[in-house]
Amino acid sequence: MNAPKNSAPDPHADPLVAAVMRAAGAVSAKDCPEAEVLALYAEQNLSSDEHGPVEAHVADCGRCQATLAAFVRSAPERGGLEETGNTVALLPWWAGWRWMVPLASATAVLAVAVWIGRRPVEQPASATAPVADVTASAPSAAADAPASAATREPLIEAKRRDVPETAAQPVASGGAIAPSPSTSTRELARVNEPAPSSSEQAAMADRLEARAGAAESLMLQRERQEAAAPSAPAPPPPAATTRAASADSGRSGRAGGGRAAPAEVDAVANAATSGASNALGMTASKAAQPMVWRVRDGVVERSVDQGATWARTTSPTSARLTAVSSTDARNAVVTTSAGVRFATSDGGATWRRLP
Amino acid sequence: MGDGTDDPRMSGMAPPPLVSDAAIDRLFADAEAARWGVSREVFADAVRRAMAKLVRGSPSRGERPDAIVAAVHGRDLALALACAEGVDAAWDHFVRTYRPELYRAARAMTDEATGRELADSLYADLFGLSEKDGVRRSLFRYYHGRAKLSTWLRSVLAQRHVDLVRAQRRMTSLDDPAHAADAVLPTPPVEQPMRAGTMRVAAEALAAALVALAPADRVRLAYYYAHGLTLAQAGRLFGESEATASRKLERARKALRTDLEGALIARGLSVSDIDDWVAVSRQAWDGVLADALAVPAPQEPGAPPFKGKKTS
Repeated sequence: MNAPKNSAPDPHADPLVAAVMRAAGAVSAKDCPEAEVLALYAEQNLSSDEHGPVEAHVADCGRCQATLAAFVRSAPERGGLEETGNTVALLPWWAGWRWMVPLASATAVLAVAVWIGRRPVEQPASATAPVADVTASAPSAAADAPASAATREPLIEAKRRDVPETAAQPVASGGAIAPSPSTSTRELARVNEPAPSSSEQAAMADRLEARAGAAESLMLQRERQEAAAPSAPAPPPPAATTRAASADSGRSGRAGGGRAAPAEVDAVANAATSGASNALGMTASKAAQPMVWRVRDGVVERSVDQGATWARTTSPTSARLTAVSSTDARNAVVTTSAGVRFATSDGGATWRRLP
Repeated sequence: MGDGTDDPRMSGMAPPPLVSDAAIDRLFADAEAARWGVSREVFADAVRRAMAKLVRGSPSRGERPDAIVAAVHGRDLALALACAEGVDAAWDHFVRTYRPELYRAARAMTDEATGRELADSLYADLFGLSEKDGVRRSLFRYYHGRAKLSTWLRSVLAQRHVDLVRAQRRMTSLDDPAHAADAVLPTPPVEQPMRAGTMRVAAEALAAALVALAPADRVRLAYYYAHGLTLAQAGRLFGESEATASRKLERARKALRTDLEGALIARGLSVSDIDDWVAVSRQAWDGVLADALAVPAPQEPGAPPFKGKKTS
């Protein structure tokens, strides 16, 4: 095929077509469709039974062809303001949506986390095997407090490096434990975004909230509060936390040097296999459950007042515990630093070793 | 003729379909026609006329009149009705909203000065400077709300532009079918004497081949070769992408070439005659015809002018 021709009308071709058309039917101008019909034809808005006759006429009518040619030449730029005639230099359709790319990524991660979190909690305890890899640590002074955005940022960077490998092999990953507060899956959603300001964080949270659903409203509000007052005293942990990161798991035998294994990595790994995970990276039970669990200083503790006070429970082993996971107030599974797991079904009164 | 002198409201027209009052009331409310002082009766009358025209062109659509009332551009129709009646507020709105578009479209069709003159002429007719029997006659009376007002304005402008150009070029000779065959007859150069009969047969075969094409294919060829539209522009008129327009144009061109060759052979032309005719046509039409027929330039003497089917 010849190269497209984008030149002006050729005076030689016009007589050719006109003459041929007139030889075929000699359509006179008085038979031309009205301007309104031609406009509808040009914009493919004619009905099927109108379209055929009009097209047959146009095929034989040089005047209508020329009219339609002038019509399309005078069309405003695509996307222009036809009504007002304003011709502005419009950006490509996607240009105004660039900001949506990180947001869409964040939303996708959040949606996955929410979907996983909403899976039935009747999974067998063995399904929480990756709990053994929970090595999230937090300074004791802030073990129950959500981290500020500033303190999370390096962890997010570390997460960016380690997520794929660690998430894929949660048990074998090990690695050095970043001494950090626990983090949330929502933070994971931010790994591809530049560090936002407080106001941007709030705005982002608003947008995500609209997509996350009512179940996530609480944690979004919590993070908004963090963003608004990062230096303010941390609020108490969310209610009914049944899995907590070990406060000193960084000192555990599984801790290796060099590569960081940040808490949020394990949080994601566990979120994918356990019942639920809250914004702080801890396995959360239903909000109505009064009892929450955590592992601290190598022992398991529980709270019956939604985290206000904590009491140690009978430990199933003298080995250091690194993580606890729970499906309800009575059933919990703890994991030692060696990966051995013990389960309780009576709120920690008795434990049995899991194979 | 769309913007002719006869008021279509006075012409014979199919009786308007039975549009329910409820449907008209909804459109009247949505159109905010009262904003321009257009009464419900005037508006309903205009809608019924629009429906009558629609049904005349598309009888099957008259079976569900209420369903297609919604397709009427009520706001535009109300504005046009008000402007036709000379409502100042409506005119102010029209001038603010549509006049810049008129000038822009006119400039896109022609040069700045001519475009301005063209748009002013249309604007005057829209305002209704002419009178008949003492009554102001606005061009708006030809607008029925089927298309958007801005689209209709651009279509009217294009028609006037084409009529102006045709008048200036004195193309009346081409309107006479008797001149049609002559018009497609290239004049053989002196160094290539060709029998007039051969030329006429070839021209007739070309005309027949073009007519044998599907209307859409003829329009494609005309847009591209006769009116110089780009593939993107031609595609827009067909609601197609540039790639689709290119593919369909190529298909039409191949069909034309095949039909023409077969017609020439059937009319007794030899391959040599065809070669001569193509050579003359190439010179006479400055390559346009050859392009239209996808005839490559001969690479060496004696090379076959056609790459389509060959029969001898």
